Amino acid sequence: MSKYKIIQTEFRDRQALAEALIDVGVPFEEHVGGAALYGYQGDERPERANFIVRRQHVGLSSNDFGLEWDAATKSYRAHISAYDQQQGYGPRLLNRIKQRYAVRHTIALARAKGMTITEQKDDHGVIRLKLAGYRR
Amino acid sequence: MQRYEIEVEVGPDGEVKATVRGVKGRQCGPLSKFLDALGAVTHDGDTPEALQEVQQGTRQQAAIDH
Repeated sequence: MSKYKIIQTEFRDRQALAEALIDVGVPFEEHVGGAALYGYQGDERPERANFIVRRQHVGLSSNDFGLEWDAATKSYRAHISAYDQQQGYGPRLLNRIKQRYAVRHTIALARAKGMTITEQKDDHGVIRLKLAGYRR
Repeated sequence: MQRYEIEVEVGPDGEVKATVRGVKGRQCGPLSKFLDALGAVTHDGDTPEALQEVQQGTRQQAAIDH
């Protein structure tokens, strides 16, 4: 009998997140101690983040997009302005990062277990990974 | 040594579906446990095909009992 599980991706691994941002191809900054986010008029916003995509790379008249480490949940949470949420810029960018993050983190976890990995992308934008291993 | 595979599908919104192949019964559940590190597990159970197998088996058993 086969089993399956569904997992809602959370940004828990710094390395996989940095690799995902590189995969997406959007310029980003990493600030270990956090840095301020800026609005579309150059105004400093109250939110801070550890990974930042500056507004000119997010969308027209956008605000900065940020991912901030949350020690309580042990994961990075996204800061998306209401405008970018409404325009879809922020959620689109977040989803692209999430998909590549899930791929990168899965590969890292499977490698750590000595499994072999193959990756392929299908027509509907779904990325399929086959992880092969052996058990006693 | 028994070979097994885990098929992982990552959707455009980052949702992950992981299916264990090549292992029968309760043994396949723990094999994908390491993937729980990816995020919040919202489903963990039998595939629809596996449930169908169980239902067919139950029906066959009921027919024999009858």
